Amino acid sequence: MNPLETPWFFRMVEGEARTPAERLLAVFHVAEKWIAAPGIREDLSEVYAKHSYGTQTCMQLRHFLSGLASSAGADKPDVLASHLVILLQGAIVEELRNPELHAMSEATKVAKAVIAQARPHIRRRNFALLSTGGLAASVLAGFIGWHLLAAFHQPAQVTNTVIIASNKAVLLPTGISPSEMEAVLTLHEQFERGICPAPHLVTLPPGQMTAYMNVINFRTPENPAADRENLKAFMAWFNKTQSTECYYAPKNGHTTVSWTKG
Amino acid sequence: MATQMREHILGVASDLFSNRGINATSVDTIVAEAGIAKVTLYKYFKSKEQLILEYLRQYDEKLWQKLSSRTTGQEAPREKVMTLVNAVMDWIEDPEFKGFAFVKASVEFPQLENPVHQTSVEFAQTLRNTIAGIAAEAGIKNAETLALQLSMVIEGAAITENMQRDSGAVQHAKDLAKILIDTAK
Repeated sequence: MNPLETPWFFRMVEGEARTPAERLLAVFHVAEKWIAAPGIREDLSEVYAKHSYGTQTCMQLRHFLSGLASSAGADKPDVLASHLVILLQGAIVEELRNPELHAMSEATKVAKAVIAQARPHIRRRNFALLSTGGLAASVLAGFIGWHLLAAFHQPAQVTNTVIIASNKAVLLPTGISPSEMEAVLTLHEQFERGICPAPHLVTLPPGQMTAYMNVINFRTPENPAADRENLKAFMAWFNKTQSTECYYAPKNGHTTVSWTKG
Repeated sequence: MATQMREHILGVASDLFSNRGINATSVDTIVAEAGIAKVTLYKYFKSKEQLILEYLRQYDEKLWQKLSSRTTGQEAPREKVMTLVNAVMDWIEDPEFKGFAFVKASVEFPQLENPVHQTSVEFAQTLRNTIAGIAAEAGIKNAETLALQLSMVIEGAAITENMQRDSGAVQHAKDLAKILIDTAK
């Protein structure tokens, strides 16, 4: 399965940036970091060699990108999505063959230009926004440095900037496979939506709590191997003792409970 | 006679390599398809590796013959870059196109020290250097960067077109290349 087509990848992209236009670009950031993670380059080479290349249709990715492109106000979302898919495919092959050329980061720059080109009416306004945004961020950085406490009393907008700034530093947690991560994120969503009872994090063994928090915050673990073990233990414990408490509301809106004998 | 036999073997092997993949084609298959004895093959090619290298070399020659026939030498320098890229794109669109031999080879032999990998990297470099050369002539300062960008677009187009024929990928890639060339400084 092509990892670029998984919900995991789309989630990472959505976690990396907030606005649709930033997310279009984040696709390249996430792909770049993902390839740089230990072992991925080798795995990917193998996948490409085995399926020669050309078995991956990338329909999901295309769909995802054209959705973002149309929210970002691109003139022709499908065309922009096609451009970006072509660019991404070429960049990955080039990156695998010649790591020293840094094709992925070059592709990011190209993508930036192409995205800007595809949103002509927004370009001008964005430049203004970007420069004021950059100014605000630098002022804010200085401000936080000197008055750390005062920053907490700033209005909501300021906190958002802080979050965006910290998101830029997000790294892919290595050592945890995408499917494991997906499982934890799904579970987290179920906690948030009240489908499953959330365990009190403080009552968990400390390592498990850290591992769990690392995943849901997309933080890079200090010790990936330990995190993986802890997550496994946590998921096993949850599935064994807590998962029966999960309540999935019936799809048809009824809330009847059927009883079985025995 | 000797060269004819060599060409025959190489032709059969090239078809198999590009259709089935290099690793998936065994020497036995080549021998069977060519209708010759194994000894005969080894008389002309010392190893499968030599056969692969020869296949890549011939492919590269054909590619450049095709491309050089397209440029007239009359265009403005910046247009020359576009003509070259368009020529590659048109060839990608050709139903005969089975993917760039050197791209496939480098992917099938990912070990950096492998001679097949090295040769395919060299060929990819030739394409990039040629683009960079023409771009530099056109007065583009970041010629190397543009060349890398364009070769990525070309490879991406090849992959996309290969997995979905007639998806319009080539036209998209041409437009993309045009944006890049026009905006390059």
